[in-house]
Amino acid sequence: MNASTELKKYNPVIAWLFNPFTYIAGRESLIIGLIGIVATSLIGSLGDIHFDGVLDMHIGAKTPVWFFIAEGFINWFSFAVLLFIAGRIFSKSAFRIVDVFGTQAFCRLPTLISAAALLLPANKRVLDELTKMVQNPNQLPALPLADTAIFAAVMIIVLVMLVWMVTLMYRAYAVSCNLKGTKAIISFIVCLVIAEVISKTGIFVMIKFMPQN
Amino acid sequence: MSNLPIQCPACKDQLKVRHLVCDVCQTQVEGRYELPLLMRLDTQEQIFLIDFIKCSGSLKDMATLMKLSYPTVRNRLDEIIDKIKQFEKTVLKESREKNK
Repeated sequence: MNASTELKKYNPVIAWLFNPFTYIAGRESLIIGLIGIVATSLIGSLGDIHFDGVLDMHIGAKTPVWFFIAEGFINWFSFAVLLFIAGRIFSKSAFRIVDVFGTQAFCRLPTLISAAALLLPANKRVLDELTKMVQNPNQLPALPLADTAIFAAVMIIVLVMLVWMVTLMYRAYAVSCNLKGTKAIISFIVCLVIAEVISKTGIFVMIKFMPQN
Repeated sequence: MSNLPIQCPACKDQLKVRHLVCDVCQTQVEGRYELPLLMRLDTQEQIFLIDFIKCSGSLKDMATLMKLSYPTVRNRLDEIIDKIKQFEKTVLKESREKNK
């Protein structure tokens, strides 16, 4: 018997879904996570889906592909840097920077599913109708039932993916910095709020200085 | 051979060694001995430490052996370190009380 036999105690499916960082961290998670961020940005660029903030997701303006990729990197980097600083302040463990950045990149994988779900044409049709309704409140939207059902399903998927991503982000922070309890929860929430502001500001600055064609 | 019990089943306090026997000549020693520090850890923690020594103290090799991530293994080691420090404090406190 060696220490690996302890693994039998855990349900691997649940562990992989909610705390994959028991098994994966460091360089592997960083590579997978960065590929995921680029893939999400490329899918997003097909439907003008912008991840314009650590937790935000909107269908917006047509921009070059690099802009979508930059948004993804700003969101990941701003949050990871703050968590790394918080970890240095609150953790007694000697943790590695690659674990914090790698696991946080990995956490963004659910946005890949959100971006793919938002690409469905029915979704765009419903959003167009809703925009028309906002612009002209007297006009009733012509929404086919199937499109509305798909739109509702997509919104549920996006919401579930968002909750899953935040759960993963917290677990990644707790494992990579060896923090638990109130200290971990409060520092995580504070970092999330600050990162949301920083990422939004970063993206805003990028828009300001974007070359106009 | 069954596992060495380290905790009292009734009050959960640390057990002491009272009786030792030589398997070859049957010589018996009676006394009141403290369990060595590492013996106070539970079986899983002792196995972890043995594996860690076998891996030459490399957390990376330990992670590969346990099929777990590096931070998970490091966190496990940190927990054991904390436990050992706690034991050391208790031993120190007990010896101070004895000397009084």
